[in-house]
Amino acid sequence: MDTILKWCSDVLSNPTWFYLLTTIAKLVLVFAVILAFVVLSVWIERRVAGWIQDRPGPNRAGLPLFLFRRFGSKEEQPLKKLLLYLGCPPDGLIARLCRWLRLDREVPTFGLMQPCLDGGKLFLKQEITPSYVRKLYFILAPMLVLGPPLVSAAVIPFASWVQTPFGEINMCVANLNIGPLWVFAVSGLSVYGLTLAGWSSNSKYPFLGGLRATAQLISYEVAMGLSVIPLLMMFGTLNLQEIVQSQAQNGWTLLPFWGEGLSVQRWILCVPMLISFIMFATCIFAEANRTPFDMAECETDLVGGYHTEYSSMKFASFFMGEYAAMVIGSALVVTLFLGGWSIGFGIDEALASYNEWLAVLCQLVIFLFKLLAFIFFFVWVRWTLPRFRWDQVMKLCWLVFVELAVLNIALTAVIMYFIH
Amino acid sequence: MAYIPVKRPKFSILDRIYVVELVKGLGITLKHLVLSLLGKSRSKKDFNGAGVGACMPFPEQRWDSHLPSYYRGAPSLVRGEDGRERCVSCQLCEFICPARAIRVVPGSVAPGATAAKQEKAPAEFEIDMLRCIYCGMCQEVCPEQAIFLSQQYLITLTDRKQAVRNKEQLYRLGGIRKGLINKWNQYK
Amino acid sequence: MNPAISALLFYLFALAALVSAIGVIVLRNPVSSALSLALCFGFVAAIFFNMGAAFLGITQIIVYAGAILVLFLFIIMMLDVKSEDHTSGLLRHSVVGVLVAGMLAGMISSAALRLPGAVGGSCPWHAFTESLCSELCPAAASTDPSASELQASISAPAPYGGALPTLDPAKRGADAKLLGQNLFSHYNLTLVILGFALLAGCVGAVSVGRRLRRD
Repeated sequence: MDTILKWCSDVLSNPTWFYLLTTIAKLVLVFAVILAFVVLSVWIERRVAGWIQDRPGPNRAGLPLFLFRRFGSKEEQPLKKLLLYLGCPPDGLIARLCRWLRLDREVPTFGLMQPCLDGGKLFLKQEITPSYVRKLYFILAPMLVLGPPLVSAAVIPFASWVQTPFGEINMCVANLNIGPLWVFAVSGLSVYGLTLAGWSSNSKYPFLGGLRATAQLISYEVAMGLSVIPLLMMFGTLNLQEIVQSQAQNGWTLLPFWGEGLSVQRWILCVPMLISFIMFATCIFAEANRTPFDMAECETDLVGGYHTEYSSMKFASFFMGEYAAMVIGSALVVTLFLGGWSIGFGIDEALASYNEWLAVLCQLVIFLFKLLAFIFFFVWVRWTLPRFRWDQVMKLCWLVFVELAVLNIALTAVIMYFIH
Repeated sequence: MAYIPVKRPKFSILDRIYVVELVKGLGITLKHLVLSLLGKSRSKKDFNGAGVGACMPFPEQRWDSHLPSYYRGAPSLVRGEDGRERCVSCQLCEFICPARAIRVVPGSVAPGATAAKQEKAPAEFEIDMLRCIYCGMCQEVCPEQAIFLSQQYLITLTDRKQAVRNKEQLYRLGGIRKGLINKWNQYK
Repeated sequence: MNPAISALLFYLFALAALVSAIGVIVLRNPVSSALSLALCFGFVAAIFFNMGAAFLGITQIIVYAGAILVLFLFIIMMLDVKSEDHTSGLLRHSVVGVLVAGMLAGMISSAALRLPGAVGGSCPWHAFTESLCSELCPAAASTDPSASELQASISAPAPYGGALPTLDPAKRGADAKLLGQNLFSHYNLTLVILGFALLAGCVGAVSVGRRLRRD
């Protein structure tokens, strides 16, 4: 036992091995969280859509108890037996509550099983590759859509850092100095997937969808890059971990309620930040191909858009890629504008001085909570706004956002010149 | 072709900025969300809703009593008041059926049957529910008023073979029908 | 990073970039060529990353692979370019091609050999013969401390903008700042001229592409 412990500490003392092991651990965590959030956001999408339209949404899929033969069949209702064993009357309050929660039929999951089962269904479906497609690119395209959002998650910090006896662990897979640019660049690559899917399908509607996706994504990338510049001017760094750190100390970008944020200068800077936030969030919507900007797959004029010819798991990877892009976009907005992992009001530092691991855990939970909230906002907007017309989308980008972003940069520069 | 210009509404600056209207729209959907979560959705009563939203949780709760009397469900065979098979296996329904869902094999009347004027009775009577289109032509054409569309609408199968309903099942579904058959009704 | 690993990675990425660049020419399907070019850009960006110039690398991906090449692809698809046929004028084309490529190669190599890092114009051969010695071929902006020292000791000829700036590896995010400072102070005139050239191109494209309305 001692030798094993000693070997472990030897390995961890080597900086290369320490770096490698911690990075792999962080990588697995981030990957798992993102994939879980993809599933979760599908569920949120469907439930919230239901609620907004006065429906319950998918609430049925649970783990039916009669699957477990050991607990008895559907008719025998194991819960009734259990309640009787515990001495609860069969028509008492507890039994009625259980029946209302459908506990007598299944293990309730509030429909959370639904996306998993949908995934299983798509996995088992017949894979149809039409004979007229260009095979190589047809197979390559879904990978190019699903891959980039997962890769771009590497720079998103999900907590602060901890000191261990072997070295510092920064809770961000790759603490690059080009954080937001990395996300823009890598998620911008997913346009190849959409374009190739449209082109290689060799049919009319997918092709039009691919063209639309290309034009839209390239245009909004310009506006997105320009809209985030005022924020980078304010923080003076491109490192996302440092941006979040300074937000934790001096107040979130949009809500500077503590630290140095409680100054008139900082509050004046909130005006360009707010404009920047609105533009950036809109661009993220467009980049993630979400309604009201889902021109590439709008079913009223393009059947299914670029993934019309896809089926089974290839279609599912387009679907997952879209949701992964949504999760990453939300994470970026939260990181840049809503404080990232910071709990706020100086709680971070107090917690960190008490116990760093506890602080990191709390920050992770807070970050995920903020992420969920913004994903909810994504869904909320989707079920509120109708789809724009194609020319409106392009006009909004080139005639409004680009100009507004440049003006916003100038405004920020002027304000910062007079403040300092 | 005539060229008719459509009058577009004039938008004010506030409308053009879009943000205010966007927030209003978000407010409306949020209201719906909160109300349906609280179980106070509008027109919930009209839809007999329970729980979240205005929806009726279907398999647990049904609205069968609201079905109109003319509702066309699964076809069924009926017996007379005296328990006699009304069907005389004339096969008119089989011929009229546009979907060819019905198959009748005529047979002789069972000995001791009460029907004095009846010459035949179905030996086999099958309706394929995967073919049936619930048009009600069989009911219309039947001279003996032996086949009726019931109010059954839940036809759930786990197997194609279950879709074919045989004579016993059809009689069980139809039950006993009271009243004279028009054909034998001397007053009509 | 360990200089040996850094050099090894450089050769790997350079080889991959070269292979995909050859693919651009060899592949007959225009879409395949375009994607091969994207791959090439990616590897060049990887070389930048390897040198510690992360900002430059990511800009390479955003601008070239993410935007310009997608526009290329867009147009190839819109025009539905079939696989090109290469029968007529092969000799003439190849002569012109060799001439242009040779001139370009000469320009680039003369610039590369006179860069401060190339001691006495011997850089590429030294690198090969002395097996992965990164000390002798430091990048223009490298995080390698020995390279910084070496660069500081050499003054570049005037046409190349004097002594090249060096990175302080201790400072985080220094490369973006350094790039901006140099671009907007030392090379400002060049930048403005280039910007005007691009603007002129843009205006020209719009005026060519704009169709006069009849109604």
